[in-house]
Amino acid sequence: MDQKLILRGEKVHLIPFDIKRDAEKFVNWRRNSEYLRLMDGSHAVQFSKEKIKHWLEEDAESNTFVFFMIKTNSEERIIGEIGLSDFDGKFVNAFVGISIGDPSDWGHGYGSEAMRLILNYGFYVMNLHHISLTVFEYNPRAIRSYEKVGFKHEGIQRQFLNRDGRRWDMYRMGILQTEWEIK
Amino acid sequence: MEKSLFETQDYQLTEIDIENDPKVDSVLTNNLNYARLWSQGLIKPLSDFQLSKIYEKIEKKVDAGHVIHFAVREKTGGQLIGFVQFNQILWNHGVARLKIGVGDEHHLESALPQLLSLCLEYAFHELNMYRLEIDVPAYDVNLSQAVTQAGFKKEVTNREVIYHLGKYWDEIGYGILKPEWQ
Repeated sequence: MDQKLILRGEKVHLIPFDIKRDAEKFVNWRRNSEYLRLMDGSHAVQFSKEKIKHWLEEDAESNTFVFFMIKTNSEERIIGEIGLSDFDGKFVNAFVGISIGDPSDWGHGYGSEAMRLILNYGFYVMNLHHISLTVFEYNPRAIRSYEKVGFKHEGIQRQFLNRDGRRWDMYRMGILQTEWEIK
Repeated sequence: MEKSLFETQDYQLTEIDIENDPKVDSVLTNNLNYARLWSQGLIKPLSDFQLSKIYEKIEKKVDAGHVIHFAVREKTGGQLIGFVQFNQILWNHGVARLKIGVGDEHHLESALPQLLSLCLEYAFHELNMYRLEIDVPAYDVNLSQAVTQAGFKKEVTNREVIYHLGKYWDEIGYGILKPEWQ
């Protein structure tokens, strides 16, 4: 089987989400405000398990984005999620979003590897031309990880966020299919 | 306070006319450059029925506070020529993205500067935004000139993310901050 067709790396693999199994994980991850503020520009807020289940049910039938849960190979633990969105009807560009839920799982290279797997999927299965992402100035760990994977800096949305009494930039990064090779 | 937030020299911003606007907009979307602005995905001319449904969705987003939408009409005669929309509003950060659609190309040259100036006024003096941004396809020279003249600065080159007339084009992200706006 061609390696490109297997969403599995050395440390993690990507699996479909399961509403019953995963809703509670999202609830727990969202109790950590640092997680929310690294991931999202919306105001930090928590949601009930029922609400998250309802959204996941809607997502299950959607063709406008695709997302997976990230599972470790060694312990078979679900540690985060990753997905592509905003490609509908065109399949030229998509935005990738990723989060690793528990801070104790940060910094182990899980996210970088999940990102490589989703780039394979986006470029070789979906035939996207370009994949974009946004990342906040105060998240240098993520920025380094995206650079390492091969994303290039494409600009800065200046002073986009207002948090902790000051404004922060939002960086834009992207990678072209022609710049990506399976690793 | 006396200066109208909704009027320029030649145009006015109004509510959507759900009964009559879809018919007019449907004709305008025969221009796929304009249809592109109405589309989340596939770019195609839209029927008045499809546009009615899109308008309904917009009204829901307006209710939820994520979007502000105006129809743009000629002041004389009231003919619908396009729309302006503030979307991806993050009230907690004071940021929003602007979308301007002028369906009748005869109006492009006069409408773009007038509408941009009005939208900036509205964003900074009524919505109290700190930052407004707009994405412009690299091939849209009219719009990129107009936004630059209005004071927006080029911030982002999202490389080759638009397929248009047989080629990949960059999308240019422009932004303006309240202190930069005059």
